[in-house]
Amino acid sequence: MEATQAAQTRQQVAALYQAHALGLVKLAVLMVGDQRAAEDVVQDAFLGLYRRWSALQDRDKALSYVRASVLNGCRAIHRGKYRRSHIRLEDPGHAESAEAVAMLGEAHREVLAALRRLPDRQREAVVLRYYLDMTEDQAAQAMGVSRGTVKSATSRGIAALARMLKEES
Amino acid sequence: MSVEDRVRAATLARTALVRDVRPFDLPAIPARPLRARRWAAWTAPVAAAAAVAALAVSLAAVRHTPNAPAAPAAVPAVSGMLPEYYAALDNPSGPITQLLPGKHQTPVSLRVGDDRTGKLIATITPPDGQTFTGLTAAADDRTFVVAAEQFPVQQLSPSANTAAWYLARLTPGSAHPVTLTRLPIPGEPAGTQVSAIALAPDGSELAVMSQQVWLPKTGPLTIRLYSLATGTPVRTWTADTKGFPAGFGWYWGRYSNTALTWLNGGHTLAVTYGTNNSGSGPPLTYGFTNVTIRTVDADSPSGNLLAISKVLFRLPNGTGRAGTDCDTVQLTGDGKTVLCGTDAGNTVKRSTAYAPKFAAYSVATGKPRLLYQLPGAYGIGLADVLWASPTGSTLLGSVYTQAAWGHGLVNQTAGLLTNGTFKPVKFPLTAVPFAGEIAF
Repeated sequence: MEATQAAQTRQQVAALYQAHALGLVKLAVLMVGDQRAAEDVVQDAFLGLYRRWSALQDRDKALSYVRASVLNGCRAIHRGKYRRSHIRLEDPGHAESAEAVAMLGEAHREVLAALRRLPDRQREAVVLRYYLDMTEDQAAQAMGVSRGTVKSATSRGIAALARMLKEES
Repeated sequence: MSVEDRVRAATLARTALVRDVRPFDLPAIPARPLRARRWAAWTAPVAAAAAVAALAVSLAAVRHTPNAPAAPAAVPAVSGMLPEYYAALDNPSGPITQLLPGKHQTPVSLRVGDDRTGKLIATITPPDGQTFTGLTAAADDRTFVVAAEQFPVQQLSPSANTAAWYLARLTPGSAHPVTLTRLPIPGEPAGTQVSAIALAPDGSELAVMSQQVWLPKTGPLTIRLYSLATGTPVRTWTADTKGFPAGFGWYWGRYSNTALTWLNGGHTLAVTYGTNNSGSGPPLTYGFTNVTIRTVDADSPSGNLLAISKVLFRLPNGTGRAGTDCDTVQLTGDGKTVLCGTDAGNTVKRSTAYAPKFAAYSVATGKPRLLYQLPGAYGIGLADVLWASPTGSTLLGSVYTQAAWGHGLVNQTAGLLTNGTFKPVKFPLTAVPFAGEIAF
């Protein structure tokens, strides 16, 4: 019976991974700038979900849980506290792969580099609001903060980006 | 450009480079419960939870047939000419009733198969109260998005709104080769009909063309790009059509998956756009006039579709009637050729002029080239482009003929068209697929 349940859990979490890993890796790439690091963070988040699956009372919230775990993992990387020791971010301006650099225009590179120089909270708020088009309420839920915090972090983040981009132009 | 718009454009451009993620094998470890108090914070009902819950997924039951009975094999010539795996909408009510969704007796199921071995991999029936009506594929030959409407379908109404969207993922050789997962993309409001869909090559976004065509009035044509990850529309482009249906691909009971085409690795969306001024109510494809292929940069901000898109190609109007002769229109992946499957006849008098035909138009010169015409005289002839290679050199199509309107022998065949030769292909489906009913 337990074996059947474990197999079902694996299947359900694997299905969630298939459906959402790509989108979450994209989100993490914007946070950390490196796809390998982003994939590690996302896989660890799903591993956490897998371990906690039986305690999950509302499985409709599984994606919310994983997304928050991914954001936590990205924060840990920026603070040098991620438990996978091989992940170290390079300077924001140099974190893209050669292929990515070649395919992105100069203007996009400037924005992405500036984005990664923002404090964690501002970067998360700006990305959730303007990349995922989340409402302030949705972003607040994903970040685990209040709506007011999202509003101020977004406003400050956009202002800081404007300053950085103006300085570089 | 505002800083916000620059952030949108840069983040979309960067994430478009992430095409795939490495596979993840979950370790065989027992699930370890988390302390209840910590988890309670996640499950506490808060006002925002409703919005976020809409982003979450619910896993649909997966019914698969790992030991499916031996299916009719695809002809050997298929090998190597089509992508290996396909998904198809299987209508057990037969080909005639496919044109009349109100006549469906049983819901349409999803079949996934391997055209190189001819084997059926899985048959998935829709959740209770739904029927599958749309299908589109990513470039990896493994990822499909499936649309479902409420079932039973309303009699003589194409406006049964899309109820749900599902992600079908194929993992060949595994114990459960096909999984079906409900996506967080919302359904369409009542009276709004989806006419065409296209999944981005990397499977990250779904383009949906829709329009409110019934009461209280015809609304603007709308194209939305939905994020599969969040279900939110990342772009919305609209066109004021002066109260008339517009776009293309208004097939009964199913959605076109060729009227929208992704180009340049998912950076550009090609839109088949015509208008239908023939009257109110649901349009028929052949009533569309001034059909154009427009291109829009996927990074373009939301706004007026006609203002931000460019006309790539103008399809000539048909001969003998107001609208186009094409039932299906598809721009090839290289953007150089427009393929047309014809819709002709609807008469009691047979004619070779009404025989199904496939034609190719050069985008550069506008010149048409007849690729194939089914021999014989018919009262009704319909040719549907089901799939085409990036250059259009190989085309999978289906041809439907009826001896005369209202009576006569009906025939329908799917086949591969290369170098002027139409070679029949048989898929393990109850009926030969029409446009929108198969995807690779």
